[in-house]
Amino acid sequence: MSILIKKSGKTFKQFQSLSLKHSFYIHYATIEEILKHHKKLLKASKLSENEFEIFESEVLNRVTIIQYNEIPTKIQDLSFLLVADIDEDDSAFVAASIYLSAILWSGDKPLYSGLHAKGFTNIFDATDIDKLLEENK
Amino acid sequence: MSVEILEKEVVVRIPLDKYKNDSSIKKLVDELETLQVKESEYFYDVEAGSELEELLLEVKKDRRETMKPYLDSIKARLL
Repeated sequence: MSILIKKSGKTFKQFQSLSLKHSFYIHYATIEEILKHHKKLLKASKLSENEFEIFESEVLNRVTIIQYNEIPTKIQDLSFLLVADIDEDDSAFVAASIYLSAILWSGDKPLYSGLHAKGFTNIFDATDIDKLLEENK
Repeated sequence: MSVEILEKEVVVRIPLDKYKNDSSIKKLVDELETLQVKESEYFYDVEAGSELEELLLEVKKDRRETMKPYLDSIKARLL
């Protein structure tokens, strides 16, 4: 979601660079959140409504949406148990990462450190993404 | 004194043996400290108290409601 907040920001630039070589997935829950907070995202973006719609389409056209029921229940349950004592509300994102064997990109500090402490290191923050971009050069 | 501008930081080297008691250096350090941005307790690369932090915290708070049906179904399976 941070990608949508600032078109000139670091997160969007990282997304643009990574999308040249990597595929992006987004959980449907994030789409629900974007719709729910659309007005506030628009305000924070400092773009006009029209500009924001174009920007939003530019981002969403480069991602594949993962539906809740697409992820096997075993993975949903395992992910829930993994994050239950960190933040259960993030379990769907962890489930998507495990299901896709994909990196979970998040700037959420408690989630990042909590998962790392449990040995789940497939969660990257902006610094890790920078390193990945360096390696991809 | 030397100043080096790197990609992500500026390195200023001040020989302390020469300047350590210099009040202007102490003033410079104080000014630099006030320039430091305090990072959010919850999110990397987000300034504490910023509009962005406020928005992200609100999204996170509302996530409980968004995720409720999903989490309820998992809890029902696990119980």
